[in-house]
Amino acid sequence: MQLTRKHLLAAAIVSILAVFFAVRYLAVCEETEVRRRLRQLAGNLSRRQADSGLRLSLKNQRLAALLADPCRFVVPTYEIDVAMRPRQAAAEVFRLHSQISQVSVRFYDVRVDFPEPRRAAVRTTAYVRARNGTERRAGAFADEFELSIDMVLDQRDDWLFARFEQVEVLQR
Amino acid sequence: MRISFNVHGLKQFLAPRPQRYFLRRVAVVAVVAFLWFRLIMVPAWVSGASMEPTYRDGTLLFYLPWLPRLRPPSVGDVVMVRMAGRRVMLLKRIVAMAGDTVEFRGGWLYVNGQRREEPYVEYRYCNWELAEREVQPGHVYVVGDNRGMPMDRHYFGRAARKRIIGYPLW
Repeated sequence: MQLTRKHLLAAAIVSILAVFFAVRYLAVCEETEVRRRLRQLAGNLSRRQADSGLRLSLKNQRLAALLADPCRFVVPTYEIDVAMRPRQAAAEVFRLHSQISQVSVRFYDVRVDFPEPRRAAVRTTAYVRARNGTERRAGAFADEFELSIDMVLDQRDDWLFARFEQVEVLQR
Repeated sequence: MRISFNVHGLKQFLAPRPQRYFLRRVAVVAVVAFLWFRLIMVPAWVSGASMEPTYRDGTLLFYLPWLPRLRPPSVGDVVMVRMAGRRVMLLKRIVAMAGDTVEFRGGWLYVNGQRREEPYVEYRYCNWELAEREVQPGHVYVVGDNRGMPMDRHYFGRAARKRIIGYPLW
């Protein structure tokens, strides 16, 4: 078989695509790890209606394992600036989960920077949808909101969330 | 009258035999569509009720990301306000510019001490109260059209002008 220019071009395109996908999906770089932690955070903050108490308790433990000790929460809108222990923060989320039947948290527009070694700065928009009860039940509600959040992760044994800060896009 | 149905023609139209020119045309259309809907007229879904009744929850709109560079925002414009990126944005209306003062009294908007008539506001069953404040340089003041919802649940306020990334087409 004789190699023509067409064959070489096809081989080059396939090689470029292969390298791209290998780098994108297979290489375990720091940014991939940080994004994975973010997905885990979203999963453990969310709850489905079908989630049992046992499952919520498991999510609670996993959530605590994602946080650094102490973890700082800054919400300028409500003038909140507190440092919490991981179990304490997870307990607050557990309390929320037990009051609301469905919570969905998703992160969009994730940008990851590494300002210094073993530290990652993440800027993202969190989109939260919450629903409680069904439409037929009195007191049922549904709400959705979006938040711009800055996060800091420190690399200890694994990447842990050390700080969450709400960015005020609109200031009253 | 006789209607003939050309099955072969339909097949040719829906699933033509891939020829070199056909594939080239498909590629060109795909690239042009991608660039058009990415840079010229970007589609977005409205989620939430803060701009009702002007924009209802679930509406599809298109915004023009290049227009703020050509035409600076002014009072009355509906604008897209960027958050961390461009996948989730806020859709609000500009009610005051830098240097103006803004306040809400009994649900009515006052700009520079004058009550502002707002024909786009239909849900007026509100009692919003907000002390007077000045809009800083480089900012605009944005509010949603739906004043029927409680003030605590309505996200509004000063936005940096650089966060305005587009105007909706309609």
